Order: sequence, then structure tokens, then C-alpha cells
Amino acid sequence: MEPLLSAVGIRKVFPGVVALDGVSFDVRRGEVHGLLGENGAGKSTLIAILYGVYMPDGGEIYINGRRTLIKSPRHAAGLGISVISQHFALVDTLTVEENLKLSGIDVETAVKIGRELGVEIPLDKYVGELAVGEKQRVEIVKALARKSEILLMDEPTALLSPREVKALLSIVRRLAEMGKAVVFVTHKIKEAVEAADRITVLRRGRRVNTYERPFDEGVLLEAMFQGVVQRRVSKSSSIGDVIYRAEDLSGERVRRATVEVRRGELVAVLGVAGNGQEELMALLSGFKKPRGGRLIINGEDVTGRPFSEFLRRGVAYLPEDRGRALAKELSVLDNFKIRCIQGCMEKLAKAKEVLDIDFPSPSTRAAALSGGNQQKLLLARELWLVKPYVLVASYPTRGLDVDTAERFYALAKSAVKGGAVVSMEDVEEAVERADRIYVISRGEIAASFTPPFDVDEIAEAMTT
Amino acid sequence: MRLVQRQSPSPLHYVAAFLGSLATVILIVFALTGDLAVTARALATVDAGYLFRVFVVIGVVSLSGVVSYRAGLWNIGQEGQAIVGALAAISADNAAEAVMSAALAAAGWTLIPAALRVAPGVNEAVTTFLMSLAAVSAARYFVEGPLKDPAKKGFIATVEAPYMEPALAAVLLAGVLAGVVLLYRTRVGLTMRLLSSGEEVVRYAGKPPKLYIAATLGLSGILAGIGGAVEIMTRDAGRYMTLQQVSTGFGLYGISAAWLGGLHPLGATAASLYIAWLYQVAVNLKVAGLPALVANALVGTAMAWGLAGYVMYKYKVVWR
Repeated sequence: MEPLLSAVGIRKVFPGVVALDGVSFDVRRGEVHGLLGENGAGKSTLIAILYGVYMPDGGEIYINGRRTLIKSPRHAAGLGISVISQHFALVDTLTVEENLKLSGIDVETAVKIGRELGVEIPLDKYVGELAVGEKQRVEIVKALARKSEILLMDEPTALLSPREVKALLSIVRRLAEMGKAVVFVTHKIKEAVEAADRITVLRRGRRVNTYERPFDEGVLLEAMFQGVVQRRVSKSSSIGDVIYRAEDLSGERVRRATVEVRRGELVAVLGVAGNGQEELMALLSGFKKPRGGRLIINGEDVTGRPFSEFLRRGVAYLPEDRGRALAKELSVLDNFKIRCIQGCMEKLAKAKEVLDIDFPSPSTRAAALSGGNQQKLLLARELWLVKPYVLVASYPTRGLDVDTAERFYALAKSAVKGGAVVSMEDVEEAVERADRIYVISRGEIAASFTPPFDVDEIAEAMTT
Repeated sequence: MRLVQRQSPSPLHYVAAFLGSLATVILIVFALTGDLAVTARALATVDAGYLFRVFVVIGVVSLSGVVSYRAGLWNIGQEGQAIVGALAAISADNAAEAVMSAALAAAGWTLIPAALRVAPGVNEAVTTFLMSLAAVSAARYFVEGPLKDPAKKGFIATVEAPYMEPALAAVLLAGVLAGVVLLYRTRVGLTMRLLSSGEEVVRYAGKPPKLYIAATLGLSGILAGIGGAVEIMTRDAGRYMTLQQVSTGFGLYGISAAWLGGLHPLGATAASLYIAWLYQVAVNLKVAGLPALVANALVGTAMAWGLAGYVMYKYKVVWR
């Protein structure tokens, strides 16, 4: 079958970086084509080129066999191309129906498409009240209502709960059955294998290969990382006394949460997104003052003390929103200096080497770094440099490729002197990494688990 | 057309902005005079002493802008703070005391918008601007009241401010410049700059953001106040304030220099010399019989170019 969209020899160069180097890729009608690669592989750049955000420096794009110059996102939309990403073009303060009207979409058509897709459109609900998965489904329906034939899905599962991921993957398959050409960008091998008909692997701006069903996960992993990554299942061998304890901690959404961390322990807080994890992490780190309850570090009550006091006691906090922790308008060096006192240039150079952070110079603005590199910079500063006593991290591996996630866990093990409490949404990751798991649901600690873990039991606790 | 943020900001755009401003000024002057020889004379005639004095004043006030805007705080009330500084200088006995009084008075004056920003969260751009209007009224009260010189019969003016040697003013500018440059090498300076990324980042750094907002606005006000004191004290004659001559316009000129200088202390100081030259050109035009407000127009174009330079420094234009 002739490809609906075909990109041939695409090249894109940013100052100091070859983002794409002669990448060829095509997607057919009725096909889901997975685009797999680690952070910085060039997936998002390729999507941006196919959607007219960037002009390629080389190569050609064909739609229905005709050479096409995609000049802008508007032009791409006119050509029947839509993007579904982690960022939604929806107004939170309007209802779904109002949002559809705002986008010039006939509401009845949208409802009909939703029905065909097996998706209910909650017309009367305000977008701000919707779960991430629901917002995404509205975006998909919007794209179909605009008669898009090519759907570019850029890391669509990044913010979804396990249940929502399953639902999305079945929608993706349904889209292909409807004759749409779907490009599914991900760094998660399992998702690509489940959803795609073909998978193209990118690595450092180059196409490694395109694979057809049946897929071999080992081959895909090898293609993504050239065999440099080995997943390590690392459990702490010796668990010590309780060094950090939160008793009946309450906030705006969190209610009477009790969490404890023992020396040498990695504790996971697991839950479906939007159940109060982010606030719990902010409360545990001392970044936010609790409405009730107590926080005890090494037997001393530190409840309500300023965040600086928590920092002084060796608490490091990695928030979900990196904008809280990085001054994106300032340079990489200035950001590093937030915690570094002396010899910062040398230490930054060393951190760059150890954590493989990609930035052209210390004076580069933090905003110019990719998301993965911003996260690495944060890890370098808060873990590698500070070597905290207690680490409180909110989704530290979200959006990271396997390699960077491995680096995080290795660093958490080697640099954290006391213990760590980390919020996660992937049950398998928690089971693999944690010494103890707390499940949070509707702001409350619904259950806690110690090894040996039962995945089904934990997953059930997450959804109660 | 759209603006795309640059990966690495390009300082060359400030040079382009400067050249653009220069070209605009030459065109305006030529348009006003309609004569090449008069234009050349207006642009080339310079009173070195006068230019130097204006440069020092604008230089100090521009650093007030740098301190504030680099922290993402919109102090646009330099004019009012300079007036308050000048009033404090008038009431002092000597130059050193005048500088100290100006700093204290301007700090107190700026702490009002700072407190309104910190506590109820009122935007400082609004309050500092309104405080400038209040400063004019306050100054008129002092001119007619507590600071009125009874010796000036039939002429309502204040007593004279102490004299400051231009050389001493230059030392003061150098000191303030060195102070700001050094400040940015300290953790306090870094924290002030962190403010431009939001209060959360400052708190994340373990510092109290509200304190830093107040301190930064206060410091910005102090510098503008010192600028006002230097302005009145370095005059050859007439070191007093009258009801008609309260506001000097140097607040606006300082803001323009700060932006044209890329919000960098050294850049702002260099830009201050250029703005001072513009002021000289405006004086030359006035001597040639053109309206006095030409000065504001010329500086206004420089400020527009400065802002354009700032935008182009951070963003690039994509024509599609």
C-alpha cells in the first residue's frame, strides 16, 4: 500500500546540535506506526517538522505521493494532519461543548464521532474538571471532526494512569481500523509493541531501523540504546531505623497521610494522577506547610518550619513541575549555583560528564535544554551535588527514557544518605524499585505494601 | 510571523538596536532642521562638562532600572524616587549627608509600593508610577512649605542643595556600578535574579521571596534617589527646586538606558553616555529654536529601540 505520508532524508540542525540526520519514515492509511527512541533521539523534532512547526534543513515530505512543503501548523491542519500531545488546546474554564464550539466544531458531529470511537464526550463538564485521559479523548475527537487523516500522537501516554493508557491504546487501534494513519511517538517499548503495526527506532537523530510485527522487545531495546542500558533491579540489602516520619499529614487535598522512611529505603507513593500525590510530596519535603499533622526527621519535630530548615537538614525535593526548581531564564551555571557554593564551574563540568547532560556551554539558558536534560540538571544539582539525607521526588522518571531513569535510580542509591520517598504511577516500576509502597487514593493513604509485592493487589488498591 | 525563543540569546542585537536608535535620531534631527549643516552642528556640538554631568546622573538611575528589571520587578517610578532623593539632598548640609539622606528617603518612599506588592499583591508597576505623581505633589508642598527659601523674595523656590564636585559624582557612579556588578556575583544577587523566574523558585532556593522583593525594590529606589540627589547637587547654579521645575525627566532617561544597555550594569552605563548625548543634542536643538520636548522624543525612540533589542536578544522572528 502506498504511504499516506512519507518523509525522506529529513535533516534538521539546531545551533550546535544535529537533531535529525537524514531520517526517512512513512505511515500508511489504516496503520499505527510507532516512533520509538530515548530522549533527544529526534522524535519530537520529526513530529514538529511533519506538523509545520519547523522547516526541515534537508529532505522531502510527500502526502499521497505528492511532494509537499508544510509551511505552518495551520497549513498542516489544512492538509489533514493533527497533533495530539501532552499539551491540550482546551480552555479549562469552559465546558467541553463550549470548547468544541470555540474550535468551530459541530457538537453533534463530535458526539457521533465519539460514539464511533467508543468514547463518551462529557459535553456539560468543565474541561478543568476532566481527567487527563478525558481531555485527550476530546482532542482526538476534535481532530477527527476536522477530518484529519493523519494523527501525530507525541508521547500521548506520558500523563496517563495505567487504566487510561490501556483505554488510549485501544482507541489508537480503533483509529487505525477507521482508516486513519497514526504516528505514535513513545519511549516506552511495551506501548509501542502493543499499539503499533510497524516501529521505527530513532537514536541520536538517526533512523536505526523499521521493524514489523512480531516485535522482539530485546531487539528494540538494543536498537534504542545500542546495548548500553541494563535494567538493574536494585533493592536495598539493609533497611535501618525510621529516619523520617509524617504523621496524619493534611493539606488541601491530602488527608491524614502517614508515611515513614527507614534508613536505606526507597519508598514509593503510587497512585493514579490527580489523587493528591503532588501535594503530598510538597508537604513531605516541607515546601508546603501542612494544615495538620506532624513531620519528624530523626526524632525531631520540624512541622511548619520554613523550607530552608528542611534544606539545612538535608531534605532534597524534586517537584513534578520543573519550573518550580529551575530558573529557566537564567543560565545552566546560575541554576547550578542555587545549591553550589564553591568551584561551581568545575563541579558543573564534572556533573555534565557523569550524568551526560547535553548543553553547549554553562551560559546556555536552562529553557534551551530539552526536558530530559533539564531533569538531569536538576538531578545533578539536588542529588549528585548536594548528596541529601532524605530525597522527596515527585514523578522523577516521568517522561524520561530508560537510560535516564536508570541514572536517576543509580544516583538515588549512591547519593542519598538516608532514604527516599518517590511518587510514581507505574505499578511495575514501583514493584521493581521500591522497598515499600504506599498507595494514595483521593488524598488518603489507602494501603501500604512491603515485599513480596502482589501487582494485582496494588493495582486494585490504586483504583478503589 | 511569530517570535521563537532563541536557544542562546544574541547580544549582537543590542548593537543593532543602538545603531537603529542612532539612525532614527539622525533622521529625526534632519527632519526637524531640514538642513545638513544645522543637523551636523546639532549632533556634533558637545559641552563636555554638561554631558558628563548628565551621564553620571542617568548612569546611576539606569542602574536602578537594571536592579529592578533583572529581578522581573517593574519599578517605573524612578522619576518620583529621584524627586524624593533631590528633596532629601536639599535638606542636607553637605554632599555626603545628602547622599545618605537621599538613599534613606527614597528607600522609605519605595517601600510603600514594595509593601503593597508583598502583602496584598498589588502590581508594583501601577504603584511606583502613581507614587511618581504623588512625589510631584509632595515636592511642591516642600517647595512652598518646609524647604522654602525665605531669602528668595517673590520667587518660590527651595533652599539650595549642597554642591557636589563632578569628579566626586563620577566616583559615586563608579562605586554604584562596581557595587551592582559585585552584587550579581554574590548569592544575594543570584537570588534577586532568581526572582525573575518567579517567587516559587526563590523559595525553592531556600530564600524568603517577599523579603527579596522588598529588598530589590528598595535598592532600586535607593539608586534612583541617589541619582536625583546627584542631579541637583552637580548643577553649576540653581541647585534648588521650584514649583515649575520639580520633575527633571532623568527617571525616564535612566529606564531607557537600562533597556538599551541590555539590563547589564556595564551595558546600561555605556547606554547612559549615549542617552546623555541625546540630551545634549536636544539642548542644541532647543538653542536652535526647536521645542524643548524634543529631548523626550529622542529618548523615547531610544527606549523603543532598547526594548526592541531586548526582544530580539531573546527571540528570533520566523516569517511563516
